[in-house]
Amino acid sequence: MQKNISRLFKASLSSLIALSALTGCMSKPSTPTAETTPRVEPPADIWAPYDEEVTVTAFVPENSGTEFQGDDDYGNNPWYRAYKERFNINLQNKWVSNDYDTKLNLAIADKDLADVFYVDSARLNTLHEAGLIMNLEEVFDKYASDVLKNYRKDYAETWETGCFDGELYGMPQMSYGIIDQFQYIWIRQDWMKECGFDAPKTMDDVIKIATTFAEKYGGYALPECQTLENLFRLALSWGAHPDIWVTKDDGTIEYGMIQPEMKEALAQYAQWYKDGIINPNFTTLNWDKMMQGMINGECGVIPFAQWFGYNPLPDLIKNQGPEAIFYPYEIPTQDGSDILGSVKFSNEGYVVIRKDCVNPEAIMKIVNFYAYTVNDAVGVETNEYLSSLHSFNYPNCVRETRIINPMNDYNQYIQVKAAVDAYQAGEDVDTSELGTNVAKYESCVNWLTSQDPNGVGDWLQQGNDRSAYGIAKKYVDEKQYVQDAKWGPDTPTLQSAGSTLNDILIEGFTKIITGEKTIDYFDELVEQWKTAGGEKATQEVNEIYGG
Amino acid sequence: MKGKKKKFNISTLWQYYAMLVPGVVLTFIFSYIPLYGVIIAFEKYNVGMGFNSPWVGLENFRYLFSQPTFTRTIWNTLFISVWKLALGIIVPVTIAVLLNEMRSDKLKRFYQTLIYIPNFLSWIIMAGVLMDILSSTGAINTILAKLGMGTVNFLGDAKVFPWTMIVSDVWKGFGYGTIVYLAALLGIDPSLYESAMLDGATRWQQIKNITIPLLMPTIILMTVLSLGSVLNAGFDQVYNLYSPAVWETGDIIDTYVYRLGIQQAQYSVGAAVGLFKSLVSAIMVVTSYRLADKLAGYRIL
Repeated sequence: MQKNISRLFKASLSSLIALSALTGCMSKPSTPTAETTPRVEPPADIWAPYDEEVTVTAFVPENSGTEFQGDDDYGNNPWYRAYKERFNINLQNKWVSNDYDTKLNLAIADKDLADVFYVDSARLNTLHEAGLIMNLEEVFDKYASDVLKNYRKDYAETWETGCFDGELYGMPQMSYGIIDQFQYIWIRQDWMKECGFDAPKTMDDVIKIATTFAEKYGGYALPECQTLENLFRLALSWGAHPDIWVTKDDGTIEYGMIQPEMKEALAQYAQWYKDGIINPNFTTLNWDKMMQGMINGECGVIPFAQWFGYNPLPDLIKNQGPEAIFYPYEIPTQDGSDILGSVKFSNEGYVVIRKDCVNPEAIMKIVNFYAYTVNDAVGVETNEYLSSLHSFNYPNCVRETRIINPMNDYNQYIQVKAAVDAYQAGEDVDTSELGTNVAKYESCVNWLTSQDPNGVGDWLQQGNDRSAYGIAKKYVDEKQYVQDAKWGPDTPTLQSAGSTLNDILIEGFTKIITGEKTIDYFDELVEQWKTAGGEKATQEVNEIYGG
Repeated sequence: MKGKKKKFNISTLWQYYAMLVPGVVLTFIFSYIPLYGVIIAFEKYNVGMGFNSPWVGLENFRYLFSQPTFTRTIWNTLFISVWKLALGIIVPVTIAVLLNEMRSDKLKRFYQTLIYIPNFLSWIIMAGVLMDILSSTGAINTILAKLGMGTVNFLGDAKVFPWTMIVSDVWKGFGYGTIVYLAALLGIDPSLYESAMLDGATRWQQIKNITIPLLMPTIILMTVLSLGSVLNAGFDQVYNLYSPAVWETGDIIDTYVYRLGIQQAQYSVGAAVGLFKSLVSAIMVVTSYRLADKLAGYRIL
């Protein structure tokens, strides 16, 4: 009986205990681990090897079960061997885990950090506040390659997000480029041909195509799910940018989701719902369920991002045959002007160096090396060598030290498209010139020759004459986009609100669309959003990113 | 059962107390010492600084309660979990008594197993199944429509959603409770029924005057135990089934806090919620226990 009481007590405090058990093991005295690695003077030339071997450590945020060729693993692979051979650097993994955030938190609490690892912006702040990471200015100045220094110059806004008081603490890993951020209307081709439709010029055309499909082939005209993501894609047509913060004419910054353009889009959307154009039970559908409908051929028109060809299209084609391919089209605007996409700040993470690291130059050499392989090395190193670094699972080995070239996907598109065009014209294609992009080219060819569903993603992203990147290249070249005015991590209020601020709007928008509230509710909703913290967030964004 | 105080006698009881020591020590080490960690709820916790993070007092609580959509989650949580609690006692007790009255042992065991099975399925799986069954074109709505009763939007109508949660949870879990009560029923002395039958008591009278009163201690024990989790309305279930359209009535504390950013390593707010919930639970347990003692004279100890 006595045990029951203690069980009672435990039950009532269980949530608390689970939490405190986690922190209980963190209450060790915070003495930094003893230094064992000796300091080695680096050579003056940043590309020259060390005279004697230098050991540095890393955390690898990957699945330790990943398979490589031969006996390779995360501790022994072409990258790590290159560090040893070229620079006499021995990079050792302290651990490899895809439960990265938890492991990293424990490592931070234990003060048992590797020399180099990567963090998100929240942890960059945490580590800087706790004084656990190094000011990189000096080592960057002396040992960063010209490629890295040019990145810092060309993408200064992004690099500033890794700085505190103008001093660099985390090197942003950047992203594969803004070309992957645009939205399209994807339309099913066999139906489009049967019904004799041309590419849509106005939103009315889009709706006409969609409703005709629904009448003729069953299902419904426009799919939607509970997150309203398709609404937010189509809202671009009204000049709304729900995903980003927009600089207004008077220079102040406002959240795209609460602007009058959004209200117009919403009013039209509610009308469509009333007319039965939108999937009637969308409020309870999650993304997977919506896509199940797509795969079953319930719908021939969907607003979507560039990766529709990767998911769900392969499944849809396996289910409905290769004629059921969808092509991407530009989203038409209300007034017939050019569409402006929304471009968000995107950054994979920040490369940081532990404060007590004795050989930070060695880490700069490693970081330089990746940037070298994707820029200057083409033409200098053999193609086999470069592809040994960049194929199969080997790119995972540099997850924590790579700094990506933001023009990567853009350049890749140009190369792959040219090669596919040459192939279709019957010319010989020298794949050795494609370097790391050969895989994309080959899967396009696979789609052309055998209609392999796994190749359709690359085909529609890059290979086809009407491809997502083909359309997006024009947007990028002609600067046909609105850049997020909040070019960097979330402000404190946005961070502590999580998704709850957006949730207020999404919940309200759902009510407007389903007709439970009229469109005038929009203004009330914006007020609610402001009192819940939106006002404060707007102030912060204006202070940090404005002017 | 009623509180007769035994005299504490170390010379005869010391062996028992010695056997208790390891359990008490372990509980102290793993459950009481870490309680120190609750100070996270009063700090702006930074993993790198540990417990020396900046002290912010009640700021985390103030922040939480100042969120306009947080307060409704408390009421939603209470509504859903109190009904789950009540039905979670009434249904299993009824079923257990009914099963107990069955003549065929084989049939009894068959039903017992059958109703116990859903208890083992995780809510992730159950949610997928329920979404199909309860959708507008799903099995239940098809039947309702054929019966001419119209369709019900079980998962998308804010008025219906909490009841969908309550009923489906009770349906999933009542097999477990039934087994507990069946076990208690087995402990009832058969001679009581025999003498009642000799006195000419009907089945219903036997249930009312023998079965239910003798089940009462178990019922009260189970209630007091489950009251401790009154602010847990079932994260797994709700999170997998809800949608923005039903947040008004279906958003519970746990799902809200999840969206607030537990996944973004906001330890302080998470700890504040945990502390708040524990506090409410502790109060609920102590008062309900006192009430049970005072009003019905039942004690666990």
